[in-house]
Amino acid sequence: MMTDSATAIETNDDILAFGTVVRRTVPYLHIVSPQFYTELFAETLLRWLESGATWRLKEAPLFKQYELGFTHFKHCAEIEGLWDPGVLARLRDAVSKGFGVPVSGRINISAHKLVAGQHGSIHTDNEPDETHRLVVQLNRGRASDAGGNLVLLSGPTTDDMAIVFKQETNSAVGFGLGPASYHAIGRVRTGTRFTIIYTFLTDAVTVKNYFVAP
Amino acid sequence: MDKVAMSKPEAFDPESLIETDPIILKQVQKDLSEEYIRFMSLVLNERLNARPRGGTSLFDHLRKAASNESS
Repeated sequence: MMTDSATAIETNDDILAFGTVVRRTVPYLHIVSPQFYTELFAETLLRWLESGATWRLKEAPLFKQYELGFTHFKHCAEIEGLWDPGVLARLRDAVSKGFGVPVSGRINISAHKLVAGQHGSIHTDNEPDETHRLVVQLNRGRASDAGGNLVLLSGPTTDDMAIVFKQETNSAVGFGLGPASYHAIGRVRTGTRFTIIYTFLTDAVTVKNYFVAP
Repeated sequence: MDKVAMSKPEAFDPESLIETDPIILKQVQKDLSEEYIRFMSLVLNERLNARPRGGTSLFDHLRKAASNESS
């Protein structure tokens, strides 16, 4: 047991950094972190996204992007730390502390890939079974005019634009989901924008496309 | 106060993750505006073209009205 426990702790530290988290309240409650994964795991995951992933194009009036859900990739050993129970437990605890409210251990993990011309228009993601979202940027450096910025807004129109986040690799932004959580992804102009999306679900969720933190 | 440090606040300024270049901000807002207009056009177009069962759409009415006016 001691060995298992020690191994789990070591694994957690190998995957997740997330030691610095700052809470902000404008335009609505959100958290930011400069380093989400360890450098080693961020590189491993980015390399997998660039070459090992199978993407599905999703097009809707509001957005156009490639997506994947990690519950379909449990066989990929090189990235299994992503859904390691110890990592998810630490993530849940850190996010709960960040927001000041307990979040569920039911966590959907997905990835988005946007290429030139793709975008996400202003929306809230106010879904009944989703409470919080955490977005992690992964890239090899994106120019400030490359497009694809995550934007938080205080309302439903572009005049309500409040925060435009830079796309520093391995940085994370989390926010609560509700009727006022207006956000958008600016149109990608050049290069490829990769993000890992953690969605914290309610206990009432029925679709089993999530991992569970113990 | 806009921010509450959870840990190691001295090592990280969250403002460093926020875009402040006015040229970039203007570009982002322009792109969002274009997508917003495109989306609203789609919604409007869909509503104008919607035909109640056995009825006519708003577009049909408008076309008919325009045709009557021009004749």
